[in-house]
This record gives sequence, C-alpha cells and structure tokens, in this order.
Amino acid sequence: MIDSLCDQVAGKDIAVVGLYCDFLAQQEQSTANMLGAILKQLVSRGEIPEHIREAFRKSRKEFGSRRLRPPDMVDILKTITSLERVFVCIDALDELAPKHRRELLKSLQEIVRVSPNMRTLLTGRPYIDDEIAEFFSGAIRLPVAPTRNDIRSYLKMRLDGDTTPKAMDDKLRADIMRVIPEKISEM
Amino acid sequence: MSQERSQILQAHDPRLSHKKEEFRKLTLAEMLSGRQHVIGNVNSFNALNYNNIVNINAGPDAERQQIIQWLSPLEPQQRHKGVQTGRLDGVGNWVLETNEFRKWCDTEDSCVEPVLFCYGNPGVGKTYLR
Repeated sequence: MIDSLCDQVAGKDIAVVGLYCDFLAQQEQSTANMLGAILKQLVSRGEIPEHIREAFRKSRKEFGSRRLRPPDMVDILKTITSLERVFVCIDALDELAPKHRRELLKSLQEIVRVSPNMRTLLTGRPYIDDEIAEFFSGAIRLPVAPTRNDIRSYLKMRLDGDTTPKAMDDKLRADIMRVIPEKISEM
Repeated sequence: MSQERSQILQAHDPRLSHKKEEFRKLTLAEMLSGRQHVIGNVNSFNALNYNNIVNINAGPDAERQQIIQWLSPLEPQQRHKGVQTGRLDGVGNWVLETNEFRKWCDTEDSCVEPVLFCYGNPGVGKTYLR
C-alpha cells in the first residue's frame, strides 16, 4: 500500500509515511513512539525544523534527555499536515496495546480536525471496527480477502519453489491448484 | 547543467536565490548522496534539491541523526523492507482498483472521509497489499 501510494504521488508535493504495529513490540510501540515515528519520517526528508532542533537541545540539558510528549507531537504534526498533503498508513492497528491504540486514534482525530486533507489508511482485524468508528464515524470500510487469482498466484509461487519437485506428479499439482482456491473461497 | 538547475530552482522558490552559489558547487555524486536523506517518500523536484543544499551547508550532521533517533526509536522503514521482499507481485492489487480506495486516495476534498479501514482476518494479506 505504501509503495503504491509512493508511486502515485511521485513528482507531487505529497508525503507518505508508514507504521507497522506488532504484538511482540507492544511495549515500545507507545503513543509517543508511534507519533514520533510519523514525525521523524516527515522531518527527515529535509532540514530538521529549527523548533524541533531547539526542543532537542533543550531536552539534552534535562535529566534523561526527556522526549517530546504526545500533545507536543500532535501540535507539530498539525502544523506539518496543514502545509502539505500527508498520507499516513498504519498496519495491524489491532496489534497495538488497547491503551496506546485509543491514544493514537485520538491523536489522529485531533490532527485530522485541523487538516482534513490528511489521509489515513488503517489495516487490522475486524473487531477494532467499533473503536475506529468511535473516533472516525464516517471511516470508509473495505473488507480484504484474497481472490481466487491471488491464491493461485501464491500457490504457484510455493510450488515453483518446491525443494523436492520430483515428489509430486502433475496430477497432484493440478489438484492442489484446483482444490485449494475453491476451498478457501468457500471459507 | 548546474546553472540551468539553479535557475529552475530559483524560479520555483525565490527563498532559495541566495543559495545559488552553493548550489552551483553541487556535483552529481553529492546530489545522489543527498537523495538518501529522503526516507520512504517522495518529494517534488524543488524539495529534493532543497534537501541537497541543506545537507551540503550543514556538512556531516551528527545532531540530525540524534534528533531523528530522539523523536522515536522505532524503525518502520526496516519492517517495510521486509514486507517488500516478501510480497508477491500482483496479489491483492484489486484493492487499488476499488472505488473505496480510489476515492480515498484521489480526492483532494476535505469532505471526503479521511480514514480508510482495510479489515480482514489474520493471514488474508492486509500487510502485503501493494
């Protein structure tokens, strides 16, 4: 998705940023780190804005190099997204810890209020639908499931990569290519 | 070529006119190395050149790396590389043709709902949509 967006916006003044959520990294995927990851992708394209440099220098003088707080990050993101078009893609939102997920959605909601032209793509399991609707009542919903052609392409790739191809005759191969896509489509 | 580019640049962005001299000094190699600072996204010609100028004026900017790390320790670009490698061409491309996606992506209108939620059970390929 990110690569398609990058292709489509090539040559235009549009930024695309991506985030991935992971069950195994819930601890480090805090709201501050997630917003920070959006911010760092945006500011690392060019010169780091002076106010961010100043905030960084100031923080170094404090004990433990205090990081920006989420509200500060939201404010900076509001400014950036009001000046240029930004696409934010967040994968597997359901894998974020519930507390962080709500905070992140709330932050995005605040940013979108100021910059209605910012576009956000979220992916996740169906059960977080209600939560997304809570923050974005009109969110466009798109069910994703592999088509038969998708499954055939995938099977072909796996069969072509078989390390013991002689163990399978043509009939078995044909059966696999026929039966599995049918069965999955029925699921 | 350098001069021609700086003229284009000036025409695009008068703020940069005073950078003209520095810009002339750019070599192709420097321009290419500057590109590496554009992470994971696309800029206009203008912005890309602007990056180059900044990088050259600032020299090796250690603070820059520290700030980027300070903003967030997460490295979504690393994961993205893994996804790119594991993706099978063509699979899931139908999503890009749906009305839902096209409307969300193409319309520059604040009336369009800004959030698109692609949902599905584990393993259906949400992450690997191109």
